[in-house]
Formats: sequence, C-alpha cells, structure tokens
Amino acid sequence: MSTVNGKPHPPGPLLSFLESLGHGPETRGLAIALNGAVVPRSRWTETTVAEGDAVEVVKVFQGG
Amino acid sequence: MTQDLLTIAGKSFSSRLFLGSAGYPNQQVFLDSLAASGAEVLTVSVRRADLTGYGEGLLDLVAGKVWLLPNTAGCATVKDAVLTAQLAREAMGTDWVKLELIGDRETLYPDVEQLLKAADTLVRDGFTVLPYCTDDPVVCQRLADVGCAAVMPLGAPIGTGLGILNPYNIELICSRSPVPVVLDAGIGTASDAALAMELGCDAVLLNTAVSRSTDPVRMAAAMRTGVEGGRLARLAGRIPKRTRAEASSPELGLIGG
Repeated sequence: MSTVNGKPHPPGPLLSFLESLGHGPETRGLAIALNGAVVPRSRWTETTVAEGDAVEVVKVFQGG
Repeated sequence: MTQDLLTIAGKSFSSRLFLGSAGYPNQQVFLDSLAASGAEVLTVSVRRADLTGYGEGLLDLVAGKVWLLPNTAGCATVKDAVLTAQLAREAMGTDWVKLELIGDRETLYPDVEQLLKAADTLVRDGFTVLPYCTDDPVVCQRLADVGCAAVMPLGAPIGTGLGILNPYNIELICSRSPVPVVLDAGIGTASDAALAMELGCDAVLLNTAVSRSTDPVRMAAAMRTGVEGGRLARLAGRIPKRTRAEASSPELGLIGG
C-alpha cells in the first residue's frame, strides 16, 4: 500500500491519487510531492507511485 | 507629492499594508476586507488538498488582484519549510515565500537557527525570501546577509494583538536594515500599525487584527488609514520629544503686559 495525504491508497498512476481527492490534472493551485520531493505538473501524467511511497497533494489555502 | 512606492526584490507596490487571508467569518467578509484594506500583497498557506474551508478556490477569487505571498506557517523543521516553499512555488507560480519556522508551539516564536539555514537554502534555490523573525537587529542583519529580500520582525507573538512590545528594537532594526522591514505579527489595532510605520517600517503585515475584529471590513479600512498616516508622519519628520512645555502661541503682545 502507498499513501495520499496520510491515508492508504493502492499504488498506481499519480493521477489516480489526485482523482481520489476529487481533483484532476487541470485544477489550479495544486502541487504534489512524492516521498518529500516536488513532482512538477509537467510530469504528473507520466509518474507512477510504487508500493510504500508517500504522496502529498496540497492546494492554496487561507493563511496569515 | 511624488508617489511613495514600496519596492521589494524589484517589485513595487503602492500599498504598504500586507493582509493575511485566514480566519474571516466567511468568504464575502474576506473579499470585502481585502478591498477595504487596499492591500496589494496577500498571504496564503498551502495545505493538504482534502482540507475544506472558504479558502476553497482562493486562487481564482483573488487572481490578478493581489500579489500572493505563500507562507510556511506551522513548519518546525528546515526540511518541512523548504518543501512547503517548493510546493507553494509549484502551486502558485511564485518564488516569493514568507518563511516561518516555528520553534515553540505555545509562543509561536521563530526558531532563529533553523530560520537562517532555511533562508540560506531557499535563497540559493532562487526564492525571494521574506522571513518572519524575532525583533533582534543582529538576527535581521544575518537574514539580510544570506540574501533575504526583506525582514519581517514580530511586534508581539502571533495573534496576541499586543502591539509593538519593543518599539526601540523595531526602530533600531529599521535604522540599520539594508533591506525593507515589514512589521509582522502582534498588531491589534490601527494605532499599532501607525506606530510601526512611524518607527520606520516599510510595511505592515497583519491578519487576525482584521479577521477577528467585530467588523473586519471597517477594521481593514482603519488599518489602511493607520498605515498611511504612520507613513506620512514618518516622511514628514516628527518633532523631537521635550521634557518641558514650550508655548505654541506667540509670547509677545499679550494683553495686560
């Protein structure tokens, strides 16, 4: 199993992780890290997540 | 009067008030407050995409209206702060970052040692770094030395509204800093913002004082005028303080003399 934002998710295409959160590759204001390194948007479609990997999907949010 | 612009890393702003986007009662009050504040720089955070709130779609709401300044709020390690800044750059397409490295959860005081390391790392990675820091002239100098585009010393701990607890330090920092000084955190009301500007700060960053006030839109307008008044007073040059009275009316020609 791998994880997305701390929750279990089966390994596979990175975009399936994004879709599990209700977002697509076109959603503005998102960024993704795979095992602590940023995956540039241009590489989202070609990236595959392996067993044990940790994905973080973040967005712009309110802040001070 | 010539236009009095604030310039940071080659980017100029006519407003010297930076506003935070958190903690407003709802989205409309936030947008109205932003408009009333006249702020051209808006701080935002990056959070896990499953978190919900009025920050939803924030980017679309303010796109093109303000310059976004993503923060690394809540980060306690260099690693987390650097990754957060890199994610913000990817998400927003800006290399500006308000660098926050919290050393203590209770006081939210900056961890200066880690802050310097993270600032150095991010500057080398091409970021325009605006660090939230302690009101210490030496720390501010070190941050400028590693290439920060501005320094943002605290007036008082985040969210306290205690105003500027050490005006002497803030004035000292302003008088020596080679980069713009943005007073960040601790502002409670408009007179605090005015004082920051009178002490020589180049701008003021605040959030809670507006978002949690009884009437945020009105307080946003108050902060705008506070900052403008303080800036004008600074430029005008205040009179020196005296320990004895000095009559302002002429002392000649008094009746009954």
